[in-house]
Amino acid sequence: MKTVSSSAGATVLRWMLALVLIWAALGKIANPHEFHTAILAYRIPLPEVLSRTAAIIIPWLELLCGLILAANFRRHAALFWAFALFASFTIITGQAWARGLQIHCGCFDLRILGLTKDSSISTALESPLFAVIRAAVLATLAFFLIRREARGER
Amino acid sequence: MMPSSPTAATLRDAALIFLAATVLGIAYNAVSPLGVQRPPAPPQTTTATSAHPVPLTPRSRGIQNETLSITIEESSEPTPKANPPASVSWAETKALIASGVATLVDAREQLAFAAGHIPGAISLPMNSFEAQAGAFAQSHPKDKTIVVYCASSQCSISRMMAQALRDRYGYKDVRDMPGGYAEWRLTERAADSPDESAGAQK
Repeated sequence: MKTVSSSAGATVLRWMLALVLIWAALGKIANPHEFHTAILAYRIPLPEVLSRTAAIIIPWLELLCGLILAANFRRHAALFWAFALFASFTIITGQAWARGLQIHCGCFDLRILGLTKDSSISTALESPLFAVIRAAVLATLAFFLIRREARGER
Repeated sequence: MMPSSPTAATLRDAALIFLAATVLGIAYNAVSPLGVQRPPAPPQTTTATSAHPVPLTPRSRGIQNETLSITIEESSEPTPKANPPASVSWAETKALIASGVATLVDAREQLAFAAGHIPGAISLPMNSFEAQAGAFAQSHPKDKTIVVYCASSQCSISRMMAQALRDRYGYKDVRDMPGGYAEWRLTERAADSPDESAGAQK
């Protein structure tokens, strides 16, 4: 019984990660230029070509991983990427928060929640502090699922 | 043939996912009107005058599907929210610039400006507004129409800056172009397409 509920819990977590990845991807795919400027706003000392490449590839990586996790097909690799992405986001948003950068994280399109650009909720959800907490939680969930799969549990 | 280990299979799948994302990303970016562009070299700051006319296009399109992020520093955030500045579309703005009436101000961060901006725009980043607004006010007459834009309809710093220029620096006619850089990209992309260009010349 415990195994069944544990498996159901893992499925729910996998679906949750899938939805988050797809949601994050769609907003970025809709406007790659904006995602690029979001990356630039983090002021990471990266060559321009790398930030441009990241803006082009990351949204599609998120989308593919989200779809693969939802479809439960080759999910090991998708979980690997999900962890890598969320861990990277944790570091990037964490350094922005530590440096006191007042930026919108560029993570999600909040219009789907009916939030306007000026709302205080929108500002809070897109703040570096909330973004780093959210990314860390999601990275932890992905890591948990990877460990679970490594133990042979489904 | 030996079956591959789970780790090797996972790495192979991960590489395939990355490859697929790369191909899709590059292909989509090539056709997207809001795709990432190679930055103009060298980055330049210019003024919107009749020396830099902006061609008119017959219509502007609404903005869809954009997302945004932009730097906002609290210290530079102007205060009052009441009496917001008038909003203008890119089509209206273009007419104002072409007639030499308006100065176009890009409120985004300098890096975003360098990555691409509307021709003729002046960079006045919101995150260094306090430091640069004084010099801007000294070099641009108060009776000039100022149009401020940021990234897209998802950002609000253009409205905040327009309010600050009006309320704190005495500009009489300051307008917000809420569609921002994304509206310009979409509109000009549409205008650049062969059939619409032909229509614009009629």
